[in-house]
Amino acid sequence: MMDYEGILSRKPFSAAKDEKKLMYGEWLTELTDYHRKHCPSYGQLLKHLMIREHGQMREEEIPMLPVGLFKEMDLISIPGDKVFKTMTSSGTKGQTVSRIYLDRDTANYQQRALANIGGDFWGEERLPLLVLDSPDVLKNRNLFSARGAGILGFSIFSSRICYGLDQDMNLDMERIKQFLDRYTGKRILIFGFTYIIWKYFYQALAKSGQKLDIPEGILIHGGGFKKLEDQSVSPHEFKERIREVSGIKEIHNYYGMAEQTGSIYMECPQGHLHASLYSDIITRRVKDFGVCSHGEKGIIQVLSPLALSYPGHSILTEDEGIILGEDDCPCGRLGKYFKVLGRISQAEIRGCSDTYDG
Amino acid sequence: MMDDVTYLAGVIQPKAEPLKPFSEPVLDFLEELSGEIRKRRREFETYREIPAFGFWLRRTHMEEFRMRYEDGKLRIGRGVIFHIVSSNVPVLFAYSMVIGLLAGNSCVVRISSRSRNEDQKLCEIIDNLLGRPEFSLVRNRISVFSCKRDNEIVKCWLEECDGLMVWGGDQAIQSVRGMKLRPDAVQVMFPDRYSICILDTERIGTIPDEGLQTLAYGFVKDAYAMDQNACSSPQFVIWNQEEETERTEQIRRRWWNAVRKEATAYELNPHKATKKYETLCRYAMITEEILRIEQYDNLLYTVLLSKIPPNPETYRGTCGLFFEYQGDYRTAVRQLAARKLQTVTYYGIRREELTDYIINNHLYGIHRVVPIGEALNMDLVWDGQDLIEMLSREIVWEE
Repeated sequence: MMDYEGILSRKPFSAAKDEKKLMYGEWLTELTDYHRKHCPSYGQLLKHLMIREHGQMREEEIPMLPVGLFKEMDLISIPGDKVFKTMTSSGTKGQTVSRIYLDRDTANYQQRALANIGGDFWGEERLPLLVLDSPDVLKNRNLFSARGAGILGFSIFSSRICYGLDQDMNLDMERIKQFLDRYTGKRILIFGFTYIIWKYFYQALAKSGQKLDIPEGILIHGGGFKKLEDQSVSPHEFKERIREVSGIKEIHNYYGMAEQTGSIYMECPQGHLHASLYSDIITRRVKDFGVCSHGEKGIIQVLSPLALSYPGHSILTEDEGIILGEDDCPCGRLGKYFKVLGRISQAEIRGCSDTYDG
Repeated sequence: MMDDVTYLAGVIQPKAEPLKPFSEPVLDFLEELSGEIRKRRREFETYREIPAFGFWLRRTHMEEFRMRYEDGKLRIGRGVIFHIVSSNVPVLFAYSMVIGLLAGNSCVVRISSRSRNEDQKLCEIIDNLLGRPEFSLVRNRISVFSCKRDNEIVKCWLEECDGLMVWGGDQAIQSVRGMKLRPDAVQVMFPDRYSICILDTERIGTIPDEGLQTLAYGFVKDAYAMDQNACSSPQFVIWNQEEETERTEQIRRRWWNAVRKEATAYELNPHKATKKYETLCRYAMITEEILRIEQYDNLLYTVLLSKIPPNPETYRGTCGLFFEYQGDYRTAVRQLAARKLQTVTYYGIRREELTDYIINNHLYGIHRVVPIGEALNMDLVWDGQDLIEMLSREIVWEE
């Protein structure tokens, strides 16, 4: 069985290309066989796609599960009574959401992976955490949304948590200032979703003309730029504007999804997203899902050995990206580094039955 | 509430007086429109559907239609026909409108506020032409506009029209049926349908390569032109044969390779590729009857079934994903011919044998039987309904 203790005891950016490729081939072949046996619908998929049962697969041969299927089907490799929590993706209103079933072990591994990745960026020390969201997001504890999961995930880094927004998503300046005063001169973590930060933190500050001064703040944000791009806000502008109103110098975007919680891809000071030891990325060509070269735009596939309670170890996403290189980012981290171009454009598909749309 | 209505062609309030079907002013206008599209075809290289529509409109073709109704009966239009059309079938609005005009009516056409470039372009051409003095009569019989679906104007025309033509889906039809209509307004509805293709394995096996490629071209046109989502696009391919042998397997493979080759011209973008793969995986997970799945790159996926599943109309491929069955085609048709089965395209079987089979076995489905390559060709008889007859009234007389 998979040696998770071994995997998690290693440094997150310590495996070079050849070793990682080899490990991922082995790990993910094992997980593919595991889920084949434990998740009947996944087993049926592999049977019909004629994925052979025994024998070593290379990393890029591991079958991909389309991310959309987590919305349509209950994909689970553990008995129902072992479900510790159910994660849901952040769907916009009216959309169906993914449901990811975690047992204690899987949740624990994913949590530790996140802690290791975070530790590599800002050290092992627990820091005060300012969450740029409302505490209400966590109210329903049985059903974790991606937002709630992100907050909980990052709260492990913290010694003390302060929520910067009230239940109506208003900026609570009083509370934020109190919190900052307490930790003047100390490093603090600030976490939130990209769009929420923009709308309820930056825009609220800009509108009121107030400014904060948090030079020791480390801002981590994720969730994608889609909504900001609709307002023509580029990642670069996002950073600049946040700096203007808050004085925060260190800002990291990250790429991740509810279907592979924990093993997130953090942005280094070079502006590159990095795959860690706990996850990998492959970009695929439209024509035949062949593997793209570095520098070539493709559909993003994400892989992670940490998906044990559900068959989510190899997922074809609905995002496009470009792998920029491997092992040679000037920041010194080993592994692939890349950029995400955003969601695949929902190009119109033809058909007879949508008379009333729009 | 009537703001946000964009008029694209014709007038705001058309005159309603009924005309005889196939009246000269209408035929003259359509002929001119056909010529205009042909003249400007270079502009439409990216919009294949417009030239195809122009070709469909050619005078000789319209005359062929007219001759079908030279049966001595007295027909006259009904008044105003209100057309509601799917937004993602390019140029469908124009076919619908032309059929309404041919039957002797004025036409009010609502197209989606998200209407496609093709539709906008064609409206421009139509409106320009209608501006000429010689077409003022026809101009006064046309109103094409776009608006959101909940606009008051939709409700108004539903209440006023003498006939309603709705393309596109059970849901759209249900919602229109809930609205107020004149008691005597006729309704021509095109609900959800699905379609199939029947190939005789032996006969396919005897076609020389070039002929096979031509046939595959026609099949690709039927299936891929509308991303396989049109009612008439084939979802199932039925191989008419007794048993699976090495030879039938060879024939099958040769066919799909020919299809793959023709499909290379199909524009597969990231969205279509991921949706298609997701669809394949979903069916692979939930379908009991799968014998094997084959993937020809991402251009073509085939799912061979051991038997026709219950509710075959719910099996929907997309962008080139086909369900296959091998066996006696009549056995298959008997199970496939639910009410929703619209078009059968075929090669190598006798058409009479199939149509006799439908009638003698009292089947609910199958409204059209046409050769491969003609699945999407619009006809005045559609979904089992003669549209000229439905959109006109017949005056019966006795002396």
